[in-house]
Amino acid sequence: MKLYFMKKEALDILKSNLDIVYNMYFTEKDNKWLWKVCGGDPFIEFKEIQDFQLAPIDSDLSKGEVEFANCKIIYQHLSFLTESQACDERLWAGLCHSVYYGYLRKRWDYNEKSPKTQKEAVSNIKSRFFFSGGTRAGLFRNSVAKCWWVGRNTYDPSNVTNPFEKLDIIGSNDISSKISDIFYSNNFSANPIILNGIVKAFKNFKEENTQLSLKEHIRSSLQFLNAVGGGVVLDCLD
Amino acid sequence: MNITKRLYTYPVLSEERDDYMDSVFDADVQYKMNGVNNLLFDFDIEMDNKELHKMILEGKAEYVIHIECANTSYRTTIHGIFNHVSKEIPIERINGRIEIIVLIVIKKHVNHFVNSNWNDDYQGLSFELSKGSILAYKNIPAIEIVKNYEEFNNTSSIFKVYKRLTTEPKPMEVELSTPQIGIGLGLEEYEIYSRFCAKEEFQPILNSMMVFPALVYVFEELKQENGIDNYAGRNWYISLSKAYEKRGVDLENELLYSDKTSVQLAQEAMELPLNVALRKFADLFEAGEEEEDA
Repeated sequence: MKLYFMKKEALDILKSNLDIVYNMYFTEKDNKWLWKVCGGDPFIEFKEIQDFQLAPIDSDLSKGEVEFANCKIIYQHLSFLTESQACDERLWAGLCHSVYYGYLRKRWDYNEKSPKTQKEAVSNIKSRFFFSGGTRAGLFRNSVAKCWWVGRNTYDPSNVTNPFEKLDIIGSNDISSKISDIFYSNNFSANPIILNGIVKAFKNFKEENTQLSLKEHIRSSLQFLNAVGGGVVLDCLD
Repeated sequence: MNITKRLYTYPVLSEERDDYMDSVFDADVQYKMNGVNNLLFDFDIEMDNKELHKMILEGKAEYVIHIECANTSYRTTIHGIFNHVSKEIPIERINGRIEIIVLIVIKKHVNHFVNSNWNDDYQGLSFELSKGSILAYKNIPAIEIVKNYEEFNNTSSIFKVYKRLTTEPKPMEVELSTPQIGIGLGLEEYEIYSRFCAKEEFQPILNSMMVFPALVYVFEELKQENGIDNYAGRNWYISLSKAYEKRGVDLENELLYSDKTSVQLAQEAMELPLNVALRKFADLFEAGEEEEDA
């Protein structure tokens, strides 16, 4: 399958005219409309790789389980990307509007639902198909980029039995919110030392069979850790 | 990470604060490209407080350099008792804003922290500090990494693999007189190569087997007397030279003055192919073994 990134000019045109074209995501089954809006081919071919399938949306898996599975699938098949390439909006906007256009329409029910308000629809499209709110927000909110970055941050090649053990420990329930709280809201999880500590805590509770509530336990603990990091350099702890 | 607008419950040494009298903690950072693929940072630390220095020599505290590029989830620390240290970061690992802070951090719990250079307000007091507590800091102005080259270029059309009409096994041929560097394979080798060259997972291994030795030969030829002159007009030389230029490195300089061997230059130009290829081996063959057992 061919991977495409979006031309910068096409990206700019689409993003600045989303308030006019947002309906197309709901009404158009394929992405041919992009050529008209962007005044030509909006994509540049980047690479050709072996075909792979994302987790099936129309199956018994919940949306969270699908996203969880895609974190492993997308990172494993696109692990050749450098971090510098993977923080480029053109790449993810390109993939979201080409090879994953149909998949994402299904994922977000754009084939079934109509937009509630223009403002909400535009805001959602921006964060799901593009980057919205800056690069870091884009990495962990864009539908496909998010999976790559979470896969990458939790992948441990030295763990031969299960290189995604950290992700398995974090678990698939409330995965979207967990991704936001662990990886987006806090820069410190970028340091593997600190992420290992967080995962260790998850593991302890998992082994005790204690259910963790996202808002009550996970979010507030991470906020506390962030506050502790104001006085102590977390990266220096082990 | 930067430290701004923080109130500490104990004295911290910084040019922004007056907790310490007559004590300096300063740091300077310089950076430049080292070869095509790495950004080399050089750090110089100046600290003249004798008692803090003693704590560092006794292993109670250490210098910590905290480097963070939030865009690419790069966050790391360098620890030590040095006053000068260097760190190489692969350019593909970072993009955009890099924040650096230099600190003195407690290594082991300290029960009775005192220092005779404290502001009078702290005289007679001592503090209990846990591991990781900050004793001193210096914020370094953020560095912006702007790449003016296209990162999504598929590896160069500098090379072209072609078929040689031989049936018996013969050595691979490298041709420099053509617009692209030619890698000539016999019929049987070419047929096998064609079956695997489009598959992403085999590319690093094929590159190590073919492109890497060809590139070593290329650099050897370029280093000969008049080597650069002989090939400067070729399209492949111009492409190679432009690729270096976009990384802020002069190819001619690397060839003539860098003391690097052709083997080193070839590996740098290919962004360390052996590492990638060997990791691919592990992925391909160790995953395969597990499937057999299951």
